[in-house]
Amino acid sequence: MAGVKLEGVAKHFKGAVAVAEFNLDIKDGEFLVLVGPSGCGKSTTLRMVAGLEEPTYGRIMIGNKDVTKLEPKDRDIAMVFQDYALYPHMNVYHNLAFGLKLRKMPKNEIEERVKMAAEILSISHLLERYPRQLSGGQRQRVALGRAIVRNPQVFLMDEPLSNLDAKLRVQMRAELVKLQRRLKTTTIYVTHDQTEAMTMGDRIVVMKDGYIQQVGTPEEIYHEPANLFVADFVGSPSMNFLEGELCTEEGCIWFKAQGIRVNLRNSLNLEELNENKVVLGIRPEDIYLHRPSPEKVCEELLCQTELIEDLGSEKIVFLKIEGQELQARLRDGAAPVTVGGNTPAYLNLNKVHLFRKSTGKKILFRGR
Amino acid sequence: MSVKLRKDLVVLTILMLVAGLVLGGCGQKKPEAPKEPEKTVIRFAHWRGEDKAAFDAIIKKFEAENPTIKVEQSIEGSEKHDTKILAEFQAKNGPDVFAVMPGARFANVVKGGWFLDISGEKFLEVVKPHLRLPGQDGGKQYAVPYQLVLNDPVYNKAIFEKYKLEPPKDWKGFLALCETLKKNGVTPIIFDSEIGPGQFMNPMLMNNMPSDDALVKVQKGELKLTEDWFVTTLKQFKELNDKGYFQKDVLGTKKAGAAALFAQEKGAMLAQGSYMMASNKQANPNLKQGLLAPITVSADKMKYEGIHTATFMIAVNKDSKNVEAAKKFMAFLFKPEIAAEYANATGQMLTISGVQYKTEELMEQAKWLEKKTLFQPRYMITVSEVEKAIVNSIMDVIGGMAPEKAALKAQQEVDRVIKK
Amino acid sequence: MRKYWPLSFFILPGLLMYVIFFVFPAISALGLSLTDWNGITPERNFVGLANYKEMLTNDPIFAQTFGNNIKYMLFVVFFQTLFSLIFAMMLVKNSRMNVFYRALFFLPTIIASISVAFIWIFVYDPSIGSLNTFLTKLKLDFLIQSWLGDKNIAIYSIAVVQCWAHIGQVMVIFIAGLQSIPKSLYEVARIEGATPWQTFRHVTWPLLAPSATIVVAYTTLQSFKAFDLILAMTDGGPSYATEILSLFLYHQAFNNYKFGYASATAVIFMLIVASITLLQFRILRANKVSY
Repeated sequence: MAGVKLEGVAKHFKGAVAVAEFNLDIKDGEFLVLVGPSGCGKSTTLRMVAGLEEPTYGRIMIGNKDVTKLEPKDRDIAMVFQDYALYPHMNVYHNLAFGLKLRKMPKNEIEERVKMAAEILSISHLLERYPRQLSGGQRQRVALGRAIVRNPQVFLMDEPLSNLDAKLRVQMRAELVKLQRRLKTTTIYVTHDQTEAMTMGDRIVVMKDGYIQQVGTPEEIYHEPANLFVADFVGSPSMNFLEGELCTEEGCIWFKAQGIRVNLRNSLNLEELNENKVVLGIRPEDIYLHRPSPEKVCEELLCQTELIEDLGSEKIVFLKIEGQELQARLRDGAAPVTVGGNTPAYLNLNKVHLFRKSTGKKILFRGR
Repeated sequence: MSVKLRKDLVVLTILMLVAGLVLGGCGQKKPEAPKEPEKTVIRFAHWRGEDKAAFDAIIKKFEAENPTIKVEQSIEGSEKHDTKILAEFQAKNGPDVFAVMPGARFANVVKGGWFLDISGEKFLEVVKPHLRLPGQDGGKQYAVPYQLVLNDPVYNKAIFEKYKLEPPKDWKGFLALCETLKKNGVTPIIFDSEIGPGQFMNPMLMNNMPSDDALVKVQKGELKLTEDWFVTTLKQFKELNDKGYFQKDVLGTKKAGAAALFAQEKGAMLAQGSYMMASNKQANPNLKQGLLAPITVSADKMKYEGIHTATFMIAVNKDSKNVEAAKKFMAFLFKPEIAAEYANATGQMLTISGVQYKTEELMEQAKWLEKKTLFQPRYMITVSEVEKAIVNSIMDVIGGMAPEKAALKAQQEVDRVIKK
Repeated sequence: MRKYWPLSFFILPGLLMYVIFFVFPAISALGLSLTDWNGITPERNFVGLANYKEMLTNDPIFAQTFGNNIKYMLFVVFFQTLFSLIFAMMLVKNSRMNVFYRALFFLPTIIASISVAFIWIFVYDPSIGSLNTFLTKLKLDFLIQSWLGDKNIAIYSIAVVQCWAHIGQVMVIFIAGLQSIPKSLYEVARIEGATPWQTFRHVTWPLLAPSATIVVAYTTLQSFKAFDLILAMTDGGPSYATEILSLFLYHQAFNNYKFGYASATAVIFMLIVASITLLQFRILRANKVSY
């Protein structure tokens, strides 16, 4: 078992920057998720750790060993691919055993390891089958099994669940996490799905255009997004954004947009900010449609209801105010709303985020 | 509508259209072009694509003289020509006037009974009687040779003059000639495996054969290839080969390669025939060429000085709907002044007497009309397997097989083919 | 089934073509093979199986021809497959340079075989040919051969030309096969530590099996049907050393005017080709790979 350290790792493809500069210390046994939209450099980063791509700059350490120049086979890693990459002409047993055979492991040991891995993944009954005779979920398990039998220091997983249907994906998500907890193998997991990232990772790295946007636990990422991109990318439905300006009136900071005024009831040195164009962000669950208990400091806005999506356990209400749209998430039992009418909406001011319009960076303002 | 269903519909529509076209095409006939008033159209089929322009000019003159007749040429390669006209004859759709090769191919048309008997036609008189023979069968004249080819080696006059050599009169002389050339670093004979054996066998055999129709007798089983006359001929081939009088690797040399060597003056003789002289001259305008045949016996036993082939025989289709027009066109071709026009335009010597030749090569060939020549014996064979067996025996000897063994092998093949 | 019967009309044009241009000639060849028809005169006599008996028991040329076919096939199938695979592996990436080379290798395929033959006749010519001239320049005179004149090597000299003309075509099939192998399989093999040979042996080759079977099947048939190339280069010579079945059939029909005999050859030829095809498709089915 070992941690992984990336120091100033960058990858350029014929002048195009895939990964700009990646610095990260992954702890031994950690489940780290790289998440971001396609083309953000997450897969390239993973492939550099695997040794399938050579970094243009920087250094990669696995344990205490500098592996930057090593071939993949010498890095003691195993990788799981999106398309499973099973050998179609070999049965499950041989798919699992192939890597061990190449390493000239004695036959009885191979058998033992394959058996164990198959048991862990409950695919013992499939060993004689060929990949084409397996369902997607079963193939996924075989692909995982092939990683497990090698007992490597690091698992590298490149969107391993994307080819599964939604239900199976949820199920495999949990199993994968359980498996990782049990094996305690350092895992780097790449996905474009923020839900997967939030539910699986000990820590999450959000990436965009080759740059790390934020590194943190799922809670940090959700509640303290470092910038507009992270705030928008994480959470479903995603955070509401209102564009406007800040100004000081009556000793208070106000957020003003066309026809909207929000008293932020907080002090903020606007001079220091030296910019008053901002984006106000608030998550749908922090907008209420009924008057909340008084300890919650709220601002009331009058909105029109446009549409209600009933998801059973909760309702998403689409609101409109002065041409800007807001979504509110109502728990079950919250007051029913009718479509087409006016309704007051209460913004929880403790949960409001402010971002600079120019750079998207978060503005710290809740001094509380 | 799903994409798949739509695709099916497209395919279906196309199928229907195709079906409609195919079925519709069966019933309809193209509207006939308005006929030109009372013009008789005859078709002239031959294989000499290179002579098309010359024939066009002649046809133009003919049509001017005979405004009611129109002549069309249909031209195919020589192999395909035969297959095609045979098929057309069977379908009663043959050409009115056509060219045919002597030998097996002539025999095929005789077998089919498609020749019009033109015995006694006046226009034949310009062709010397012995040159008319290849077009005769059972005493009837079916076709008349138009071109005359001399299947004797072509030689380079400049090289001969340089070493003060003359065409020899006997076998000893021929060997001595070759030896002189070889000593001086000149390849005496250029011999190819593509057409060479079929050509060179004729002069090599002409004085060795017990009778002029010896090969016909072989084919009938009356003479054997294992007999002395044929084995001797093979031995003479072997002698030329063993003494190094051919260029290296005869069997790998093709017709064109051999011709190129000769045109580059890398050899003194080209064992092909007179038909190569024009193209040789084209390849090397400085070339001065003559014809000579090896005399394989002593001078007093010589019967023939060379070989000729009366070829490109012209005939009329018996089933032609316009026999008179066809005959008229054929007669036109045999007029000496028309023939001269053709000969000088194409570089071909003709069977027709009284033709004025203009090129050096043709005048050289014309001298041979006065010599004692034998009609190409190979063309008297009508079973092509027999011909191939004989040609192969020569190649076997060149390839190192003993003459007796090669002769035996050839005779076995002949026996197998002609039994019955 | 019954409700689909109107659909059967739609296959009618195709079926008609098949019947007119294939079934009918095949049956009439079968009929002709039992006669002594010479192809010229209308008369023909029923001779039973005499043509077959003659061909299979008493015709040394037919036996030699069949042997030539086998030699030709083995040489072409082996070398054409080997070299097209090597070229395919070298040119599998879609770079601009590779696309150019692929087109270059493909070029001989679109040249008429008669032209190919004439090019190679001049390459092989013993006196003025470029091959022997080249060997002489390299001081490799001992390698000089009578490429088309030596009975023992002429068939292989032509087989080389056949390979030359078709390697590009077969290479394209292999490239398609190689490109359909997912890249991740190679990456897994790399991570698991396979050497290039092990990767070829355990990943590329087994997954290329369907393409390889198609190639071998196609090449075998192609070698049996080779005709124009040999016709133009040697016409079966010297001494039948390069005569193969298709040429033999042609010579019987159009040189010897033995259409009955030629038809019998055609029937045997058809049987051989059909059985090879059948055998190979059986193997092909066994080699199917699905990802």
